[in-house]
Amino acid sequence: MRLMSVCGLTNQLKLVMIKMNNILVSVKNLTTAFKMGGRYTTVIDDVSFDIYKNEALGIVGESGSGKSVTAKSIMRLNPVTVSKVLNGKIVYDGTQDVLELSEKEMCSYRGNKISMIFQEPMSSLNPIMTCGNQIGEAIMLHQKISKKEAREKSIDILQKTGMPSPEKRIDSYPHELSGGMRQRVMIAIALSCGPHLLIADEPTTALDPTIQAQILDLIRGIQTKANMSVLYITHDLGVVAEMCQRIIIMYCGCIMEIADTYDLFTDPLHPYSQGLLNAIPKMNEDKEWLHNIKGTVPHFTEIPQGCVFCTRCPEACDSCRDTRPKLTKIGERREVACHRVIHRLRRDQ
Amino acid sequence: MADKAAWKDRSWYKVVKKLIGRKTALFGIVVFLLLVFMALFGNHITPYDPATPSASEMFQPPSATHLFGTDSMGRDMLSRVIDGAKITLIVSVIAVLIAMVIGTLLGLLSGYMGGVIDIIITRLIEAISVFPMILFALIITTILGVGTQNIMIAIGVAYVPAFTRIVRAMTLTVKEREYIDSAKVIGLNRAEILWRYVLPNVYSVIIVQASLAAAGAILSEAALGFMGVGVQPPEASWGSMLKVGYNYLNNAPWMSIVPGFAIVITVLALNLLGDGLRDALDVRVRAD
Repeated sequence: MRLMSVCGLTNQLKLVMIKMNNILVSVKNLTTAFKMGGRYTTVIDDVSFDIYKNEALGIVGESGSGKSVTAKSIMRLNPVTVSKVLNGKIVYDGTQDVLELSEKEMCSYRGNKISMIFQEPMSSLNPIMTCGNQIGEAIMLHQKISKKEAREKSIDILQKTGMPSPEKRIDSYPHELSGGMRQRVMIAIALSCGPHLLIADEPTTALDPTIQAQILDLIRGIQTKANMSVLYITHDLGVVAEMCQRIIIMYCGCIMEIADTYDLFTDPLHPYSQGLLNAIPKMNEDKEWLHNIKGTVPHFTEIPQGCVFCTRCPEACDSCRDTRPKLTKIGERREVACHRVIHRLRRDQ
Repeated sequence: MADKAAWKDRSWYKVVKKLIGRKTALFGIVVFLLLVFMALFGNHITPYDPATPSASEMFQPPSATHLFGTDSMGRDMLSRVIDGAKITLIVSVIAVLIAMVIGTLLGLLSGYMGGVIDIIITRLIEAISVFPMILFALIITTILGVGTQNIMIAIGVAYVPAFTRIVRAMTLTVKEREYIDSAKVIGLNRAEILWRYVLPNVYSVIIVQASLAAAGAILSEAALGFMGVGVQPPEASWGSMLKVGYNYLNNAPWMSIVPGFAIVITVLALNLLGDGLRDALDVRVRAD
């Protein structure tokens, strides 16, 4: 817990530097459906949040909670043949709705303005191209420079990602590198054009803890130096506690709570957030069983009509089962979607 | 510029080294080069004129003067086999090129785009492959007329479905890989992704399929030649020689054995070469 509060403190300090009127990406009422068995089923429902300039924002949720789909929506990477955005806007830099860009405009937006790194660094690198060519390609796509210059720049970027002897590694194929090195190459590709937002979709899940820490340090360092925003997608609360200033908790395609990291860890409001935090094993606790949230994530066809969490919520009441709570602003940077919490807060006021 | 050239040299050097390193692939290369040599310089190295008949030397068995014997018109079989290499090679290479280019394009498009385009292309391919290959080639030669050029087109089109199917299947798996998403993430457009990411990753199956198809095309050409719709005299492919020899199988077996053996060796060599190429072009397989 002491470590947690230290991390919380540094993130707290960073929060002061983030200007709240400086919104980089604003996701508004995003609703995306996927075709399942011939019918479209909503997988993310009315999701709204802002990403500020220079902040690290985490999206936390279980598998299937829609966090990756949300991230991919910002890049428009969801397969067009099986997915459809039913409603919503993704506004970049206050002007441009990403969802309305043409395919061609999209190409200059990806990589240049927003970039992304994926979970599995082996499968996200082209196996038959050398690392240097892959980094160089990204550079040459957005900048008019020669192949030789691109190569030099690639070595330079690889150096910055902490790759040992980058001038040798640049001619290696992905299979010749270790997992950590591959993720460094991925990061180098993502950073090659100096994006304003880096989406990291579980960037360390496939790596062992030592390398995990190195990669997280690397991303944090680069974020501060390059003045970019980072959107972390993860199910690891430890990672977000360490990396992010703000956290979004998602469940079944809906946002449950948005809060500053420190506030969320010290005073979680939503019953689901409370359940998640209670589930973290504590070092100094002597217990036979770990705390868990009762029940399982409902199947996508059985999502309740009311609050999506009502089937597992210890505090659920009739109104929870009938109407879905709206994500409601309750503090400067705090939003929660729970009838009980909102009711309680109103009563206390 | 210098290191760019060295870069390229190195990767080519690696491929060739890997290819030669395998005995079977080396055998394939040697036979293939021999075939190309025969096709290019055949008329200079034949011991006799392959087209001049000689009434006094009909049906001679293999001997010192005629290494592979003579045929029903007294023509030297060795010279005829060497001469036939040219037309056989041209027919199979061009037919495979036609099939490869059309088939790969259709396969890539249908696999990557999906939806209506996929349905149309797949149905078209199914419509072609409903016919047995030989029958289909016969239909085309009936429409276009008999002749070397039309045989190439017929065999080429008949082999399109094989390429389309295999390329489409590979494209479907490759396009789901995460590196295609990473390619999109850096801002590549569809055409660039198809050309630079999908195609190179389905390369190996195309090459293997091409070597198989080249072998198959030689056999198809032989079969069509055997039915008399193939290469027309005085030009002689191995297939048409086989057909002529078939009539004298009892008295002069060398007339069919020699071109038949040439076909077998060539088909085998092409298959081995294809296997070798697949391994040599795969960057994940190391040269030892």
